[in-house]
Amino acid sequence: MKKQLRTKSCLVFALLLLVTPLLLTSCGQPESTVKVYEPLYLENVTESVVADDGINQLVWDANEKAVFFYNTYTGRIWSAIPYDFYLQQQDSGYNVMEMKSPIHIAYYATNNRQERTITGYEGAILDGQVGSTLIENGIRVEYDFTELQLRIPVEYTLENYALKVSLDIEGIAEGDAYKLMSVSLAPYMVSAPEDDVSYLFLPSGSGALMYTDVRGDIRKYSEPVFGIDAIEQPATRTYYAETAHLPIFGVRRDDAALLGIISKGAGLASIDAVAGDSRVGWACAYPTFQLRGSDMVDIQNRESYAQKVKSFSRNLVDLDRAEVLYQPLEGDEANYEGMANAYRQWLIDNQGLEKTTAVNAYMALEFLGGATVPEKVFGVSYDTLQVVTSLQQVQEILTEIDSQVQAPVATVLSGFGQGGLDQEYLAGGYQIHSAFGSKEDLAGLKEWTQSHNGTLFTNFDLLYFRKNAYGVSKMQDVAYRANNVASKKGYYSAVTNRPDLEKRYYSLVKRSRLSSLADTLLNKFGAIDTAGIALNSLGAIAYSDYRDEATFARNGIEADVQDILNRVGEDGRLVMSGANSYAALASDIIWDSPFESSRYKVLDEEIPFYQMVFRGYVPMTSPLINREAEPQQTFLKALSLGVIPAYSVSATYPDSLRDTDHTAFANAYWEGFREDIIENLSIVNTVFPAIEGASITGYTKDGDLTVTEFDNGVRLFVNFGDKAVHSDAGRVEAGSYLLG
Amino acid sequence: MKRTTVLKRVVILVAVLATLFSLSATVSAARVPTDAYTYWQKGDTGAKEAVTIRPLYTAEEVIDGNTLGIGAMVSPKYMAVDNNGFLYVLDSGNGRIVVLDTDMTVLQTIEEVYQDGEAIPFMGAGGLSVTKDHLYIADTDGGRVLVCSRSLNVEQVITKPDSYLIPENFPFKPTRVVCDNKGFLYVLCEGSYYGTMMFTDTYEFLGFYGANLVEGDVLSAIKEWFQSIFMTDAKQGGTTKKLPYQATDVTLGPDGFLYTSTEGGQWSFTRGEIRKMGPGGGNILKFSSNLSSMDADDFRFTDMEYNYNTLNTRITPAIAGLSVDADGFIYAVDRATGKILIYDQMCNLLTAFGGGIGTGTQLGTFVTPVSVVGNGEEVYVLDTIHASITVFRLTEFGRKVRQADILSLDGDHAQAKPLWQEVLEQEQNYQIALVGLGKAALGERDYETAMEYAQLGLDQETYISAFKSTQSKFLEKNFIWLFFGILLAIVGLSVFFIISRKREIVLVRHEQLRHATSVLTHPFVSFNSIRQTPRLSMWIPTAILFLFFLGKMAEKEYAGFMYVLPSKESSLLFTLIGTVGLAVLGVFCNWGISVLFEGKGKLKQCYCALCYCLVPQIVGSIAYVALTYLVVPTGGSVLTIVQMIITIITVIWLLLAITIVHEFSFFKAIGALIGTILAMCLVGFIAFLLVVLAQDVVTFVGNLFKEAFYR
Repeated sequence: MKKQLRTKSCLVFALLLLVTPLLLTSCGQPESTVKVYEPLYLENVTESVVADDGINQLVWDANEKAVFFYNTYTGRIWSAIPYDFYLQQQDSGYNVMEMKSPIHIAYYATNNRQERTITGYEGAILDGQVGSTLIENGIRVEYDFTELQLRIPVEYTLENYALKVSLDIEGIAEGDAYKLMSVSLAPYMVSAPEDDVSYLFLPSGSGALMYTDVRGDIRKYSEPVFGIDAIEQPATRTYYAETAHLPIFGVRRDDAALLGIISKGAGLASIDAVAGDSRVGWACAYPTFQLRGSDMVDIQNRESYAQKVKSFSRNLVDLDRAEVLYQPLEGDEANYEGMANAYRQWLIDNQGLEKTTAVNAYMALEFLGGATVPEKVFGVSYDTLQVVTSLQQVQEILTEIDSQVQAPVATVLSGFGQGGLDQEYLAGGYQIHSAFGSKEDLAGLKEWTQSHNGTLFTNFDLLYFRKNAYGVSKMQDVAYRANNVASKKGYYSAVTNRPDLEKRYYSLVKRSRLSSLADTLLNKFGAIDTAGIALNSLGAIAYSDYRDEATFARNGIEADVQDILNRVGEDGRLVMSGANSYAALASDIIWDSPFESSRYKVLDEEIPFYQMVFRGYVPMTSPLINREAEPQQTFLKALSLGVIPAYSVSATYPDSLRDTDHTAFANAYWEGFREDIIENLSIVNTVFPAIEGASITGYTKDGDLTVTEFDNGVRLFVNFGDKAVHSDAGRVEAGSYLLG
Repeated sequence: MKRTTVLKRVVILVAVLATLFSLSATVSAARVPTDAYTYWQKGDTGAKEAVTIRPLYTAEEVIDGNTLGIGAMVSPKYMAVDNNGFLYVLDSGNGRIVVLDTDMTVLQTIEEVYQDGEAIPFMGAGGLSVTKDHLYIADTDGGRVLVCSRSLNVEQVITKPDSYLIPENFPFKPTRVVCDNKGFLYVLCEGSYYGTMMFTDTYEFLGFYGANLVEGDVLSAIKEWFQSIFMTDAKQGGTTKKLPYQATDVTLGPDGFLYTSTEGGQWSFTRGEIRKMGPGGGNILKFSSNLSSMDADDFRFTDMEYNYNTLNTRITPAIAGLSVDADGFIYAVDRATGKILIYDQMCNLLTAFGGGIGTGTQLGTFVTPVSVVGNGEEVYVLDTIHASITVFRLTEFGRKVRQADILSLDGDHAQAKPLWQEVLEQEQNYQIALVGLGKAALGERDYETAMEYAQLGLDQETYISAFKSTQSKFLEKNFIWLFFGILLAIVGLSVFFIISRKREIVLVRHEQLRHATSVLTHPFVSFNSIRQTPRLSMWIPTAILFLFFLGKMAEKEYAGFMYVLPSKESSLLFTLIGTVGLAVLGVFCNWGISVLFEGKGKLKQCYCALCYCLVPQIVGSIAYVALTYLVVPTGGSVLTIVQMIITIITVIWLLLAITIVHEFSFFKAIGALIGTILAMCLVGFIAFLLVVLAQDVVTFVGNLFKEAFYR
């Protein structure tokens, strides 16, 4: 009997071992919701003018399958096929494949997961597989990639005297053999011939220009809007880059310019640009919408080496359409200043951008509370909270500054919760840890700042956590990658460029919990009644969550964050957040506005486009000056742009922080920057009243001298050099300024 | 009932499996790396930890042929600077030299040099050097060195010398050339592992100079010799020889010494990648290893860990270019990682920056950098694939670091002090600043401050110097009190022992405890008592074992700074395994061996005996920890002698214990001890194999599930 039982048990065990993997093969993948591809009869519009708003016309060429945006007053024509090229009537060659393609797509084969790209011209137009139907104010065009069994509908309409190009995501049809990864819309709409006068505007960091001349190799640029998807965890990272905070791009050519604004689906997009390709003869910038998530999985092969296999999400992103608005500019507006004005106006008209005066600050000081450091007792390691700056010390430092310069200061408390700056607990446990001070200390600090025209913010990180507590757990509340694995994020080593395996790992909270976590924050911390709440990380990164189709490929991040910021800002509470456009619109002050581009070698010039858009409307801070390579130069730049200079401050530097990776404290010691902060505040105290509420209308650089023009007529000269220079307003001393 | 039990088990099994699976996750992460870093030196060449720091240099601009208006460069290979500060760029692919002034504007483009009116091209040249009077071109493809006047007239063409010192099959393909202050030429050739070729000022070949060393040891040499005895000529011909690595660059320092750089092997880390040649061809570059000055041939100049590129392929560091500025700072560029490393003459890494690992898309990153020139204010890096020069400029912080370091190396610590203070205020994590301040305080005879800074900066050398002075002062001040105190203690203890003997005072009443504690002075009695005591208490030997563990922990964690650098890592587990684990293993092995040898001791008795033998170790640990705060480390240190004595006592006590407990003869006891050690090694080896096997099984099962899941 016993023997029989044992045999049965063994059989059951063996069966389970075999069956469980099979069962699991069908786990984790939702049913496909993408339209199934079926051959359709493709209609064709024969009319040429398909829309007319009284100034502009939309003209359809049924032979070339091209749409032209024609200004009847100026005669200017913009099109997915550059008009000058269109007139050449070429029908073969590499440039034809590229320039006659209103879309490019990337797809993968389901049998071998190989990724490929194809142009619309090669895949659909050349075979005549393009259908078109008239719609209100425009035309709907279906690009049918018959061999691949992919159909992609795009709509071209006129809206508010601009051209809108919409990718109908819900209308995309797929077969079984090939799946769509991404779609690039109208690659050559925003384009210029390769000459010495045109340029492409790209939203890299503060903004950058890419000239269109030919010089040696082809120059390519690509950056995801709102930054690299934070859910991604590349095994190696060889560089860092700024973020494309604004979903826009543009071109200036001849005496005209065209600004592209991604009005919907910006979270899915990256901005790409190409210049210097002599085979084509044109430079272009365009958006690419990522419609399907992918990630790498480590599988061990026979030789026990980890092999990377790409895994794709089953469905397309859950968004009905992605839209790009093309705004033409002429004359004096046909430059990047004009683009900044146009974009700002669009934000005012469509996104509710308003002038905010809630926060008036001449300097921002981010006080660093503490960090989690390892300690040892008799060989046993444990983590402990190291207090670096207490609330009392914050008060003392602010009092000292105020005794020298009376000016409004925005104070931000970072790392004053559980775990300090290390995100041990989500949002630091929604509290100020008692080690930093009492509630009375906090209330006293708030009162002091308010009585001295300043504002007090407490910064919370609602995104990362390490330990299960305060309503979040790693089992249930972690965002998932496209390979169905929970996110785990760590810090890259500057030496190896890999995540340091010995350091801490953090989890990214799932997207569907963000809203409820914000409510929790308001309930717990809101009760303490501080003036402002900062959610700086929320506005600085965008990420996907593949637990839910609605959050694939960073979809919906803008709406989610804006909703949270608006709720936090209810009842008059002040809100500070990061620099991504959607957050900037919902904040009373923008934290860490970009001062540089990503400094790719293909970019030719940096411009302060970001500041040109928001200056005068939403106050913004500079990057942390004391952490920059040349602090004083960064301060001068902040001054020249009318941006609030920001510093991070730690009152002490305990020895336990030495030889650790808590570098934020190493550069923030108050004693090291005391004089600079006070001196610079006194400078700002003189300059800022003259440019209060003013927008930037012009910014020029002549050697070491910059000239910023504001819309209130004030001109600000700043000399970055080490010698005095003469301007038309007078002599500007080295490292100093002049108001004119 | 039985079916229910089986079903229950199945359900539990499924639940466990499901849970196990759901917890699995691929570990990976993402966060941006910072620009500049340095290493905290921790006592010796092997222990360095990278910390990010404020940049000393920032990338300012990228210059290429198009921006210079001379058309694109093609595979530029080298840069050199002349006495005016003009930069000479060897545009090898175009066969020209572009001369740039300090503002990076083109002064001259040299496409040919002339010999007797005839133009001589130098397409494919690999290196060049410029002195006040001459321009030297290492014409690699042409197999010659062109010695030209500044007016571009060829004065001498150096081809392969005819010398018995040069092997017949030696390919004379010069890649680098440099001329010293005496007019002697040094030429590096492709594929040559003999060192640089040295020529006199009249271009006569003198010989090879400054070959790299081959890493080896006595054991490998003996092994090779032994193998060679049994090998035929044919077999010997098929063996691989260990040859020195080929130098990649050679440059002249301001002090007239030659510096060379070496790339090293593809799959291994090399040491001594940068060498400064003394008159004899040996490396005279030294580094301070906290307690002594050591040869930089043992120093690793490149990263301590492998870098990885975007394909997750491992990259081995490889220094391709070298430069030394007027202040003696050494600039090295790593071709594989794209990093620039700046060292001072004491091998302190001031900073490492750059990168790109073959991508080089951003300002300050590289595809394949091959040459570097530094003049203090600027650093120029030549990228051969991108065909461009990146200009880095010194930051304000960098300027302070340089000035302070120059003063410190000159011994002017007082002048360096305020600069180091400013550096530290801006970058608290800069070890060199802490060390500098420690030395400055030492110079000012502020020994307490010196010890404080030295401890923060992990500078044992300065700490010891300051401690010695503090100790001397203390002794001078308190000698009389100390003397009489010690005398009193000795007299007191002696009197106590005499009286307690006379009156037969028993300090420890518990018999077994008394025997355990008296094992140091009466080992025979103690071990005999183990045999004779009918019911041995396990608590006492266990307590001794625990104290032994604590003692070893104390040695690791609480020893004085002069001997042990603080570590943030937990040593608990390793110490536990190394003490308790080994002891327990030893007990079982000894008992097992003694059974084979027909020993009389039982397992309990073995355990007791071994634990008693650890008492000297406990005393030794206490003494060690105390002495690390009092005794300065010297060659043939007192502590080492003390530790040796304790170890010898322990071994002798072990032998005694085995002899007495098992009733072995002396030689049988030695045999049993050796047998015990061998048995422990065998058990350890088997345990290791089992662990590895278990890991493989776990990995296999995990992969099975993962594979199934993703399909």
